[in-house]
Amino acid sequence: MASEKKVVFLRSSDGEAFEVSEEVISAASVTIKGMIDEESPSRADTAATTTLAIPNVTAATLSRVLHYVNKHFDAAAVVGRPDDYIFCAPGDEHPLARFDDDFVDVDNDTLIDLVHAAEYLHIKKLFDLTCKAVADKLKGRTIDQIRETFGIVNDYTVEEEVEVYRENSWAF
Amino acid sequence: MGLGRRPQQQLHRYGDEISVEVEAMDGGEDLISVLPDGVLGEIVTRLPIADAVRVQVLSTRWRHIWRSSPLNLDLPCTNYHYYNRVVSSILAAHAGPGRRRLKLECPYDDGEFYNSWLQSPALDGLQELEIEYQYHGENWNNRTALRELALFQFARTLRRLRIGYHTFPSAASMAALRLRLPNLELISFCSVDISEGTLHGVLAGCPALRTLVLDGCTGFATVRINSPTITSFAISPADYDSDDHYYGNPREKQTSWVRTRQVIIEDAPLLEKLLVLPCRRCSDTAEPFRLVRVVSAPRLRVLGALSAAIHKLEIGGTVFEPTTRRVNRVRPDSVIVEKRLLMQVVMLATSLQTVKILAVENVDSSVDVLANFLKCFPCLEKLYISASRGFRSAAGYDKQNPIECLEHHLKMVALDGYEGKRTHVKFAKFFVQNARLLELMKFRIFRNYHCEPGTTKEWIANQQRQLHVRSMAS
Repeated sequence: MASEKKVVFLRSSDGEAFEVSEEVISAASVTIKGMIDEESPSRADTAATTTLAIPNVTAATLSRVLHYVNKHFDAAAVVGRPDDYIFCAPGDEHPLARFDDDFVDVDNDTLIDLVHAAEYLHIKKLFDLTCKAVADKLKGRTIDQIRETFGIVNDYTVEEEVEVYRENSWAF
Repeated sequence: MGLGRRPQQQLHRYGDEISVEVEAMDGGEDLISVLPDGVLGEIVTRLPIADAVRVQVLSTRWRHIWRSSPLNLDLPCTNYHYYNRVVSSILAAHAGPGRRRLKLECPYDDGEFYNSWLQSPALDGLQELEIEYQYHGENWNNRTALRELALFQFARTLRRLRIGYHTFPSAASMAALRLRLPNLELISFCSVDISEGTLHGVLAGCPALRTLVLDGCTGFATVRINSPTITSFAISPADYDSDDHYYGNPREKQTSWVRTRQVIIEDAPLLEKLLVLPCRRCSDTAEPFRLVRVVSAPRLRVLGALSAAIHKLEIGGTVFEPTTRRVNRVRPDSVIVEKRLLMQVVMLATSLQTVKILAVENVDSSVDVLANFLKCFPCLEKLYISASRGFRSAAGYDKQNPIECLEHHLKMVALDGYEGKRTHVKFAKFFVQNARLLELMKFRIFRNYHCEPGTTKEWIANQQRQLHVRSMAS
């Protein structure tokens, strides 16, 4: 019984449940590990599987997050280590780099949902990846382009805006 | 989609942002501004400094984000006076703490700026420090003295330290500081002059060190690694004769730099990667290491560049040493007799079972030499061979005396500098035919390789036919 691989269910904000290995999700998410640790005394005597409510994350986002987590944190699935490659061959890259690039190649709304989820679930690698991806969408763009891309409304008064420009004139 | 409910939860968790978020949601679409301050800060800190400063103009929501996010100062230096002014104004404007990263490209002249920068509250808690003196025409001097202040100001919090083109403070002043860098994980020195005593003193003061890179450094004849935490170590020899020659700085000529002769890994229980690289700039004038000795590194997985940059390599009881070999080189108009250095295993004591990845560089790449190497690494999975002098295949492979890694482990071979000549094909075929588990072979062709335009596909097809790739695909 003990040797069986334990799983937990995660229930998204819109009520969908996802199954994931307890070991994998504990390694990935500090938040969920905390939840599991809190639950564990009561679980010891019952064979029932735990279901954890994840009220801040929708099913669409949660399934993406779990896809990432299974790729990155399932020890059996991880092929190599990132730094094997640094000096040996400049052309070679981390085997998951491609996966990561594709993973964040999504529309802005989805990406920001992922940032939220990574932050709430406290998955550091995913948080770094998604923040970097958002930063890449801001990088080298003009202010107007960024406002348009993300639907940001300029609520400065003219005087205020001039003031901000003036303070940081070197950056423009 | 499904976003109506999230802002409510965010409002709950980040109460102080209520007014701003409600305003942003009026537009109904601005999801990014709904992110809490801390998260926006983490995004902004990943931007180049000019972009990070500029996003303040987006809306009032973004006004204070950069100032309270971890400072990431990496301004490229194009004009010295402009640079000083801007760095000073950035440090004055940012509220701190720095936490993240400071990269200074031309930090000197009068030292006044520099000292006030380092003491700026905006840099409290700095984690990454990079100081490099960029090449600026005739003013270039690769021996600017590093001010101690840079080290002790952030000693408690630094996690990564990169220094390029400096002389390190002397052992005496470092001893007075009793430098301890309790959180430092990475040291990367490029063309740094540091005395043996200082180097070992610094290393002893880094209980969390994981990565050490000494690229073209001088000042120490021997480097000894004794570290319970280090996982990666890379070193390459210095090449200063040619610099003196090119730049003709009279002060430099008087000094004779102490070059590194010996690299000794005494005790490194976690060391996985050991890379002894040839000099990047000019491998011909760099003096090779006389001895690279690994006494104890039980987890060594990646061994980089067995090359002519090492005179003698000892790992446990196995000794690799170069021997010279005369080679007739046939040119269209003449025959040149060349002496070539050839790394060979002279004593095979213990086989290096932990090594899974091996790189071989600029050695005479012939099959018999290579077979000799491969016997020492029975569990090898990946092999990188770089040969600027081309590949040769002299002798065959004695199948009665099989090489273990070819029979059981080798999955990937990369050949750098492949040109598809007959000898190259033969060399590559050796792996295609003998490595039983081979999954992947990579060929990299030098950029200046002469290939008729438009014939690339045919060339590849021709090579595939010669290598019998198709028949091996089963």
